[in-house]
Amino acid sequence: MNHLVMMHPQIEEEEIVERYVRNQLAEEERKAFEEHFFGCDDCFEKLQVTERFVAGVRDAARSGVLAGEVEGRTRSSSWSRWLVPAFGVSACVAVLLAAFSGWLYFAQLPKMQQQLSQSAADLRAQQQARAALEQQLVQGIQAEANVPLVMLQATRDVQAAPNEVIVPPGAKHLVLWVEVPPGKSNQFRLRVDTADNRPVETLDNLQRNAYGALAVSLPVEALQPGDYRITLTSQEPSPASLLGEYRLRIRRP
Amino acid sequence: MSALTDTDLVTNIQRGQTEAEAALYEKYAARVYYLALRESRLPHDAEDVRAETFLRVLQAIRGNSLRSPEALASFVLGTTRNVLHELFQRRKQTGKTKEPEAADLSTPSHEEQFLDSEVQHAIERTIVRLKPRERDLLRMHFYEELPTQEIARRAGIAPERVRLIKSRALKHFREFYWRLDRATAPKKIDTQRR
Repeated sequence: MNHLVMMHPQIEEEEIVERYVRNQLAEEERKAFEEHFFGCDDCFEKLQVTERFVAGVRDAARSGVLAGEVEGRTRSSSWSRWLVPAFGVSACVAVLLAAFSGWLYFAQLPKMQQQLSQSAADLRAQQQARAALEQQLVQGIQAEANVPLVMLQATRDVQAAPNEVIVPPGAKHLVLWVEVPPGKSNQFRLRVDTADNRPVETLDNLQRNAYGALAVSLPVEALQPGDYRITLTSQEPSPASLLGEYRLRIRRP
Repeated sequence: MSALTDTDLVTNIQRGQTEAEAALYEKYAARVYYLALRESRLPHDAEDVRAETFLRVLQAIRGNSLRSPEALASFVLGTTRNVLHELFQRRKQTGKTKEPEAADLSTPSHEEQFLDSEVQHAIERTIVRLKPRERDLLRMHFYEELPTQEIARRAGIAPERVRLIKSRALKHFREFYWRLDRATAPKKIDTQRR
């Protein structure tokens, strides 16, 4: 009989089972534990499990499984091996995406919206300007009936009656017909001033038409009812010289 | 019958009940075989030791030479040791093998008797649940045989923590193993074979 009697608290506290399996007990301890587990079902069961556990761990260490090479042999470990990094990467991407979205929403979006509003306003202004120009162009190329025409007669007598023309409502242009005295000049300038010498219109590089006269079209808008002074000068060949003065009175019906 | 006390077993065997002999074998066969295998390191020697041990125990009980029936467990153990001692004596005479006391016991050569596919599978499932540091710890402890203090120092944890991790790993292993063991019980042949 052994003198040493082993009880459960000591077995638990001193890890007797594991040390027995690993042959780390002193002779007296070993015999005392054998005495114990021969009469203790629980300790014998624990001894059997520990024997298998230690054998398994040592086998795993030898084969490299314990160093993290379980993947090839166990499906669940394979899952955890790639699943955890995959989740990690996904989480990082999600965080970065959220940060980028936040930056875009709170910092860039208002700025972009402002730029967009400004661009839209510019576009509207351009469209309006274009529409106005197109309207003017349409008006300019539209055929016009009953165009008023006045044949200017030169005069040096301030007391003489001026050339007079009645501009009907709706008329856009007034045509001036000027007889040019014979001479070497082939280019002319026609200048229109009000009676008190405010310039209204100046037309350069005029040339005689087939009738040896100058035909000029003036916008009616610029010619309010009243008296005007028109001067005709030659441009080519220089020097320029005064060829004639005309007085024009515009009336409305 | 297995619920009988040792005193009941001894009494019933002495009365000639063969069921009591079977119950005695049922109760102690695994322990005798385990110790015999651990000491002899050879399964067939362990089987011989077990058979010889039970023969002597039954003879002693039947012959009323067992002084204290309540000390049956100690008697079976003592008989096993005697049979083993005789085995080692025979080995020494033939010069075939050494006694376990003379052998290197730092590496239990009987551990291969406990290794089977179920143990390996249960260990793998246990390892999967461990953190890398805990795996290192088990390797240092059970394979490299480093002292607990040194393992704790290397791992940067308290020695008590080493013990806790071992205990938790063992608990997981036990759960996995018995689950597998129950699933494969009909074909199970282990160190308790009779």
